[in-house]
Amino acid sequence: MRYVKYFSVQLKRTLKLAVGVFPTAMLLFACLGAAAWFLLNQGPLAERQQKYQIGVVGKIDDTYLGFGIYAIQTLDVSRFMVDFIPMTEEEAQQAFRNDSIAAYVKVPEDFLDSLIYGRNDVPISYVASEGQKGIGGYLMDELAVVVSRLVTSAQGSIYSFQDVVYDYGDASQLGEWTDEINLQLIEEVLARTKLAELTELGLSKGLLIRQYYFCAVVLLFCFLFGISSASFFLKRNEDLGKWMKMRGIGAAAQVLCEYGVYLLMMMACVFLPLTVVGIATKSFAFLMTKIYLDEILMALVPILIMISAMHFMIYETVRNPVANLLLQFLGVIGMGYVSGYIYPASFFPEGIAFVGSILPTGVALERFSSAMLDERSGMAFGLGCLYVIVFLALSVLMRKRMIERENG
Amino acid sequence: MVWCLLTEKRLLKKISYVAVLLIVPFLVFGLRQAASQEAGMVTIGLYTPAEEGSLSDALLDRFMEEKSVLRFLRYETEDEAIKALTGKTVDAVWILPEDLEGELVKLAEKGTVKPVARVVEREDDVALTFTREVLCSRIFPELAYQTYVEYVNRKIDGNVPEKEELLERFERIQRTGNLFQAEYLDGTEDTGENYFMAPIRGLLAIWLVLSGFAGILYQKQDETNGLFDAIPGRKRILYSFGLQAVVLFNGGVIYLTACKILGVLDHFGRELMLLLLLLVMIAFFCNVIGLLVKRMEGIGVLIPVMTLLMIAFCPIFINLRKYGALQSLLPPYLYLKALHGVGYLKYMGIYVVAGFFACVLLNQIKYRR
Repeated sequence: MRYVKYFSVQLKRTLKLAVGVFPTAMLLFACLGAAAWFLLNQGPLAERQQKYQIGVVGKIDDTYLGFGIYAIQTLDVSRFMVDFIPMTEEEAQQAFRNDSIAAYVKVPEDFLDSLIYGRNDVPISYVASEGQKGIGGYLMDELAVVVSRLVTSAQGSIYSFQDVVYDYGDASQLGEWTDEINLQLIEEVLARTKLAELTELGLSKGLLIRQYYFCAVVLLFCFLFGISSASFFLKRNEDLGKWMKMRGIGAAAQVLCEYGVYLLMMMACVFLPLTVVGIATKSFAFLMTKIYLDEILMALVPILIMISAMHFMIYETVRNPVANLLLQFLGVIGMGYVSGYIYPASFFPEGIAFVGSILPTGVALERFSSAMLDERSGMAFGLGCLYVIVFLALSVLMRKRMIERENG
Repeated sequence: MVWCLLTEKRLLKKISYVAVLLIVPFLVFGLRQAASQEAGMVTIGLYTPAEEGSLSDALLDRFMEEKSVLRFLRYETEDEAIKALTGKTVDAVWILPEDLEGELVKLAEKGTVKPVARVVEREDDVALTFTREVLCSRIFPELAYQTYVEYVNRKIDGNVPEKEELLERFERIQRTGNLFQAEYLDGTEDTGENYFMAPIRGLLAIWLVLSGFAGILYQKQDETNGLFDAIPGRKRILYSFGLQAVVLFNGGVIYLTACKILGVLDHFGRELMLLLLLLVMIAFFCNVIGLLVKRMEGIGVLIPVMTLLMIAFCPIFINLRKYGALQSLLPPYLYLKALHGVGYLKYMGIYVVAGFFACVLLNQIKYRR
C-alpha cells in the first residue's frame, strides 16, 4: 500500500511538471519534424535526386571545351542530372553562397592545351563544399574520377594510334584517321552505360528512405526527451531517498515507482504529438505504406521502456548538471550517429556498424524498423530486455549508494 | 582570476565531469581507428567465372584495391553473390563475363556498344544508377584500348606491330590521374577526409556550445543555492563570464586534442585563433540566452531545440546556404564556414563585438532596479 502511495505522490508531482514538459516535447517534436523535412528535401538524400546546377568559370566560348559541354548537355546520359551555366568567378562564388548552384568548376586557360598535348598537368578545380563536406561533395569527387578516366583513356587511344601510324603507316592520312577514331570514341563514350545490362529482381530494399528517417526522427525525439525532462530529475529532493528508506520504501521500490511515473510521462509526451501527426496526415500517408497509428504506438512501447530506463540511469548516476548535459549529448548524438540515425548504418565500416547496432540507439532502430516492415527481431528484443535490466539495476545501485552516503 | 581557479578546482573535483571530458578524445580515437576499416555508401558484390589472370579477374582486383565511396565484396560463385543481394548484404551485384577481352574486341570491330557486363539489383534507384557509371568507366578504358588496336589493324597494311608493342605504347602514352582538383572557396585543396569522419569536427563544435549552456545551468543552480546573493546583480555577469571561461577553456583543450587525433590541425595558429573566437562567441551567445531565460527549466527546454537547430543549419551534414542571417546566429555556423571560407573571420569579429554589447545591455536591463 505504501508503495502505491509513493507512486501516486510521484505521479502528482509529475502532473504539476507536465505543464512545462508538454510544450517542450511539442517544440522538440516540431523541430525534429522540420529537421527531417530539410534532410529529405534539401539534404544528402535530395542531393541524389535533383538535377545539379553547376557553374563553369573560364573561357569556354568558341573552344573545343564549349563544344564538349554542349555535347554533354544534349547527347550524354548525364544531361538528366547536370546543367552547366557559364559565369564569372565572382558570380559563381555569389551563386554558390546563395545556394543557386550546387558547385562550380574553374577551367584554367591552358587546360585545353595541356589536354591536347597529353600532359594533363593542369587540372580543372571545382568547389563543391563549404565548411564540412556533405555526401554530395563525396559523390562529386567520385564523378570527377569517372570523367577523368573516360577522357584519359580516349586520349590514350588516339595518341597511341597516332604514334603507331607515325612509325608504321602512312602519316599523310593521319588527320582523316584521327577524326575517324575520335568520332568512334565519342560514340563509345556517349553509349558507355550500355556496356552493362541491368536486371532488377523486383525485391523490396527494405524500408524506403522516408520510412527509415521517420523511424530515426521519432527515436531521436525519444532519446533527446531525456534532456527536456531535466526538470523532472533535477528538482528531486536529495534527502527524500533517505527519508523514504526510513519509512520502509527501499532503494529498489523508490527507483521502480519513480521510473514507472517517468515512463508514463514519456509515453504521454511521445504518443500525443505522434497521434496529432497520425490524424493530420491520414495514418501517416507520407510514409507510402499501410501502417496504422496504433501499430506505431504499440511498437514504441517496448522501446520507450528501454529508453526511459536509460534516461533514469543517467540522471541517477551523473547528478552534476554540466556533466549530465554533456554526457546526454554525447550519448544521444554519438550513439545515434553510429547507429545510422543521420547516415544509414550501411555507410559505416563493419566494426562501427556492429557497435552501432548493439547500442541502445541501434537496438531501438532495429526494433522500430522491424515493426514497420511487420518483421520480428529476436536479437533486438533480447538486447532490449538486457538493457532495461542493466539500466534499472544500476539505478538501484546508485540510489542505494546515495542513501548510504546520506546516512553516513 | 582566483575565483576562476577556484571554480576550475570545484569542477575538476567532480569525477563525472572529468570523465565526460576525457571520454571525447577516446571516442574520437576509437572512431579514427575504425575509420581505417573498409566502408562505402553503397556495397557492390563482384563475381566473374573467368580464370585468374584474365581481364575480368584483373578488373575485379582493381575494384577491390581502389579507394572509393563504394565498397566491394568479391564472391566465388554467382549464387553466393545473388544470395548476398537478396539477403541485403550487398546493394548490387556486378558480373563480368568469362572472356571480356574477346567481347570487347568484337565491339571494337563492329564499332558498336552492347552489354558485356551484367548488373543485378533488387530495385534500381538514383544511387545505383550512379554506381553503374563507375562500372562502365572501368570497362571503357579496355574498350578504348581495343578500339585503338582495331584502328591500327584497319589502317595499317601489312607491317602491324606485335600485340605486346601495341600494349606497351598504349601504357606509355596514356596518362592516368585526376583531371579535377577539389577546392574550398578560399582556394585551399580538399584533403579528401573520410566521409563519415567529416562531421565529427562539426559535432564537437556543437558539443562546445553545449558546454557553454552547461556553464549557464551551473550558474543558475549556484544562484538558486544563494551563492551569488552577496554580489550586486549588475556585477554577476562578470562571474558568469568567468564561469564560461573556465568551462569553455576545458572544452577547448579537449576540442583541440580531439582535432589533433582527427588529424585536422594542419595550420595550428589559424585553428587556435578561430577556436578562441568560437569560444568567445559561444560565451556571449550562451550568456544572452541565460539573461533572456530566467529559469533553469527554460534553458533545459532550449538545449535540445538548439542542438537540433545547429545540426540542421550548420554545415555539418547538410549544407544549407539559404538562411544565412538566421544561421549566422549559431556560433558553429560561422566557425565551420571560416575554416575554409573567405570573409567569415570578419563576421566572427562582428559577432563578438555585437555579442558583448548585447550581454552588457541585457544585463543592465535585467538589473536596472
